[in-house]
Amino acid sequence: MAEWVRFGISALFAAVGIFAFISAAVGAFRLDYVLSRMHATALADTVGIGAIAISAAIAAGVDFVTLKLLFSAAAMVLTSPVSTHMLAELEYRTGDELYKHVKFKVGKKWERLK
Amino acid sequence: MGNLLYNYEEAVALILFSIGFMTLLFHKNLLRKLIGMNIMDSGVYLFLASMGYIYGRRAPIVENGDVSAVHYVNPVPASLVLTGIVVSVSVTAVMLSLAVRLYERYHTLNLDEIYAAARTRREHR
Amino acid sequence: MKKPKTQPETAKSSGTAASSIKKWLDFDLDIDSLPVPPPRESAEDDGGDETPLLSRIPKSAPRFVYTALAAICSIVLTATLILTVEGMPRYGEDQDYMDTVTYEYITHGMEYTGAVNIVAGIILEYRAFDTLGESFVLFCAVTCVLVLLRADSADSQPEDVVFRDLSHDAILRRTVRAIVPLVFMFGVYVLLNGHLSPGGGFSGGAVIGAGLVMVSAAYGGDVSGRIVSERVFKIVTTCALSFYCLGKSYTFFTGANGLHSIVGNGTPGDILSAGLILPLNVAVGMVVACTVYGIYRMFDKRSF
Repeated sequence: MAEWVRFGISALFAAVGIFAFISAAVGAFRLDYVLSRMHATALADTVGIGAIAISAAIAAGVDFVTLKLLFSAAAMVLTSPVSTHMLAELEYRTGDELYKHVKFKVGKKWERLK
Repeated sequence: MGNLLYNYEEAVALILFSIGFMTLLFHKNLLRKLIGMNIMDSGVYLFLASMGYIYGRRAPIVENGDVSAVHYVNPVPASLVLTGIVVSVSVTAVMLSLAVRLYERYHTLNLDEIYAAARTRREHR
Repeated sequence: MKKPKTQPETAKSSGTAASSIKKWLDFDLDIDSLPVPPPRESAEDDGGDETPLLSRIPKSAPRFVYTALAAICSIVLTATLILTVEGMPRYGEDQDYMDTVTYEYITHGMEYTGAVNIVAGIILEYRAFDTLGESFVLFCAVTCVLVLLRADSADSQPEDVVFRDLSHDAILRRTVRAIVPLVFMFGVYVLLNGHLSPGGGFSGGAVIGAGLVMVSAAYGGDVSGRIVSERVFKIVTTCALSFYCLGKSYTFFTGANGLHSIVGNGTPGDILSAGLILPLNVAVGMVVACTVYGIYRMFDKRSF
């Protein structure tokens, strides 16, 4: 019975990870603006890899492999948002289409500048 | 259906190859074509690496001095994949630098517009 | 700027070895009689043509012909590949016709190469020539990128180069300061353990190159230029490839003629075993690290 519970939880985390990867892949090809595409692909690296690593760790049990897996997943979750942040900074500083897609705060209202 | 249902890993690898090939053909943007090329490479690696697998055997690293060939997976496709990955990286680097130079000269990444501008510029000389 | 026409005659008249070599190299090439290339026009010169670009494609088939041909090609390719998979033997089956090469590699690999990792023994001992070609491919790639993307100092930088310089970002610096020592340590470990566990030159070199890229991105070109400058890059790649050639030629020569080579095999499982595999891994790793870092610098700063 305990084996099936462990299998179920592991499969649940793996399904979440696979859904994150599929939505990131679809978003990278179908979205229009570059910041939207970055928002989609950042999801793949953090949520996707984290969920699949947790699922593999639960399926493997208490072993030395689990420690290595969690450590590599932690390194990935730590560094991937930094790379997305740098790309978004570059786009913010040098992008031409920023004003068409982003709303800014004018006084008390958020509105899209022309 | 033959062996198609049993060879699912190789079938998925070849479907990935075809998806990359279609991306290469149907998109007009240079960077999308480059992504298609990389997808094709990933499909080829998966296919090559899955050719060497045999059920119930270990990875080809000798443990406890046991050198009988019935205990290990086929190591030759793994060494072929190493060569392929290096070639893929090099080709991607050169393609990206060519795309940068093309963009600087023609200010567009659309292959039709680049072709039209290059053709007319040559005829106007 | 016309050179005097008497130059070929003076080359022929003096009979020394240098002049004959020069004449052989020149192939009786008369520089002055080559056609002068037309003056180079600017990139925006269209001849005053106002029509939009896409309607200017002359004398070609309509667009849907290409799309239909591409679709037919893709469908034929996919069908052929799936039919091939159907005819292949089952996945994971023990093939009786596993060829003798694989049998030879596994059973005699460890005693011949001394490497516990059979794949490292294959790519750096049995098939070392292919790995040398791969290193050359990497070197060619970084040379092509250098040729294509290097901007001379005389060219003007774009105006937004100040805004594109993101090396003073606080988040990046904190993260890199925490991660980079671990990255270099891990890269060196993977590089040195190529013959004992999965790893080797290519993966270890890629990790070290990634560490260099992180340092260059976070702290600017000055700090990473002190580790790998252009001179260091040239020296390291040339020396690594030359060492690979000479060292492997030595073991090819002694192995083919049955002589005793000074590089022994050692006991399998030690770190200093497996003949020349450890130094060759280090050489290949250096080439890969310099290539990865060099390609990054070319794309980012257009110069080393």
